[in-house]
Amino acid sequence: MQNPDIMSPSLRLVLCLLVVGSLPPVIRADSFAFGGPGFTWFQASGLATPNHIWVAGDYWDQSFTPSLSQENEFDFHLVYNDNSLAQTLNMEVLVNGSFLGDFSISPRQSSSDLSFGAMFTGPTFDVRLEALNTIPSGQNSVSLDASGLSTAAITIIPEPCSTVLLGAGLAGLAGTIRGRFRK
Amino acid sequence: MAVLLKRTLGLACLVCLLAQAMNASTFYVDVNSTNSTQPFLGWSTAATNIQDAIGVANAGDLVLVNDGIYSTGGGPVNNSGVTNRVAVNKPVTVQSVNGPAMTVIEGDGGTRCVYLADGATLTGFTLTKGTAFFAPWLFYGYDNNNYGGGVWCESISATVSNCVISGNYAFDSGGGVYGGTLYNCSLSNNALGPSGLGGGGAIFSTLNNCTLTGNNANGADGGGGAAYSTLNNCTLTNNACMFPAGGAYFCTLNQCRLTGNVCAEFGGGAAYSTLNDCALTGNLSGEFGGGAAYSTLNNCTLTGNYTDGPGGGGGAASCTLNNCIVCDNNASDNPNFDDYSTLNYCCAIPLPTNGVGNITNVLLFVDEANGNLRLQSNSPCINAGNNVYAPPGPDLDGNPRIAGGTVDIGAYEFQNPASVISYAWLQQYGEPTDGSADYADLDGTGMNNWQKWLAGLNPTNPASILAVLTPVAANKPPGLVVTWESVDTRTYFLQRSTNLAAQPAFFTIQTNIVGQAGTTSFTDTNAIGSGPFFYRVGVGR
Repeated sequence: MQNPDIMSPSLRLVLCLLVVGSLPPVIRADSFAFGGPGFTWFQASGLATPNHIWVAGDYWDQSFTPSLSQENEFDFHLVYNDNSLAQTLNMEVLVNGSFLGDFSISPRQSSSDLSFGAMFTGPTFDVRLEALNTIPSGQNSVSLDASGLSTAAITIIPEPCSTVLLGAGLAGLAGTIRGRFRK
Repeated sequence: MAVLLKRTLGLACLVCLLAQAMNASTFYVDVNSTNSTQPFLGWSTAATNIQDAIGVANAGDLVLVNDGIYSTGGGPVNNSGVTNRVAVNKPVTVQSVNGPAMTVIEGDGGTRCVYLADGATLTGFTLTKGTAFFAPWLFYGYDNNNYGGGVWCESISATVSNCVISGNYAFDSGGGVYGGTLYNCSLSNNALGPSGLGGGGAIFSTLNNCTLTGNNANGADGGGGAAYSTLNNCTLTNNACMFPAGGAYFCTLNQCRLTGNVCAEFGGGAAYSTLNDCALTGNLSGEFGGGAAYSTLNNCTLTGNYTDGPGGGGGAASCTLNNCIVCDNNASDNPNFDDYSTLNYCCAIPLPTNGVGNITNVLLFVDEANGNLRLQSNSPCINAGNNVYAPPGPDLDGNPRIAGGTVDIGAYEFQNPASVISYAWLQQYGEPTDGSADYADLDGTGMNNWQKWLAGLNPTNPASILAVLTPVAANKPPGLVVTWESVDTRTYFLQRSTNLAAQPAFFTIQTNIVGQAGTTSFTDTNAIGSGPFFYRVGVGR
């Protein structure tokens, strides 16, 4: 494999095709803020002020459209601008309706930094942060800042096998080019 | 083309605004409605409780409420423990048809009257019997369960106008009101529990043209009437607290009247506050500072206040007072002000020794016995203050704070002074206050009365002049020592010229030189060489 002279033309062709097949070749992150037209919030009681949740099924939801249609790394910085919870609120993260991960919001906690890895296909990624339990009556609520402080970074990171395939493909491509020059 | 584009854009904006205004809906509420039908878009289908109408309203809408007592409906906002009779959880306006005398929102032992979210407005209601009291033994951090018995506002962007807020209770803070901006409201007989932050009437609020009467902070930190608030043109009467500040605690008060407020500790009228253009009368404290304690007062009048404690200062204790009248207060020791207070340009009895520019004269109020503390036309307080300490707003009557060029002492400005000179100064030298002697040179010194008053000199003494003595050369540091006759109630600036024919001839070389009694000197270290050097001295205040 180290000597391109011993690489048959058909093998070179297969390896070159691997280059195409293993794209994208670079880490690419897109950053977004929660808020604006793509942000929605649901609270079941009808007696909440904006962005406050406390009942199982309440959620914050935001649609993101990054530059790539496949992403496998989701990082969130969530800021809670009114956390008066007296008990912990358990949450899950859904992307396009599928489970990505879970986290919890403790009393007086002002922010969360979360990182999840799973491949999802776009082009639009609907991220929903949904409550899993109900805080008892009188023990208050939590609201998510949707004015730009809460952010999401959506990233594609090449997986190890993709990287190997890419390397093999590049080797094949190099062999092909080198072989032509020798001729 | 650009003009056309601008006009088109302007028209488009106007159309958008009109369209937005036209999109606002009105929802109707009538407690006696017999055909309550959503979406409550007319009187014939009006909701019977306010909360139902708010439920279908959107931001910017109006909820119009007919006469009646509204004592049902509502709920807890954001899962708090206290139920609100009316929870205005979106930026809508809730307004009565016929005002607070006809339209009442009632809470109960576990229900606050009203919650207002950011941008929400409440107009024309009586709020009574509200209670904010829930699980006081637990502390949830940001806990609104024990704040604002009458109304709890999310922030000062929530507005309450033309409301009567009476007979409400909060366990911790703001018996009547927590937060919000209030206009033309009456807060009376609201109360707090045995502990808490304070503000029997209101806390963390901005109050404009409001009256606060008979509110009680009980065992809270302070502020029977208000705490941590800004009050403009308000009246605080007969409020009480077991600790400091019967009237106002950590507040800023502009053009306010504080009367008959009582506390067991200090600052019967106010404590830890800033007061501008206010009148404090008949307030009472148990320890010291019957009118005010630990406060800064500018252009205020303190009279008839009383303290019962050994600390003294029936009018003021541990305060800084500027341009204030402090007289006819009462205490067993230091009836008007205590030894820890500083007074500048005040009229007080006895003549203060801490501070400058004070006078002690017969005050000449229009009718002190009946509470008219405006100045008579010959009051010595006219033009006797210092403009540096004059608050920026109007006086207590809403008139211009400075009339005749120099601010008066006290809360009320005499609007048409005949003289531009301090009346106290004129009267001191037996001069008329009708303006006839303002520019007379009584002693032939070349300085008229107005100039001598500005310079703090004696108009009847030819030797009392503002004159520069012959400069003396100095070696360490090198230069010229300039000396002039001076008084200790003025500051001076010094100017120098090296060529009297130049334009301008003089340049200021030093400002804000504090005057000394007798003479004052300044060493001009830049006056080196043969000169010539010419000097002149000016008076600041």
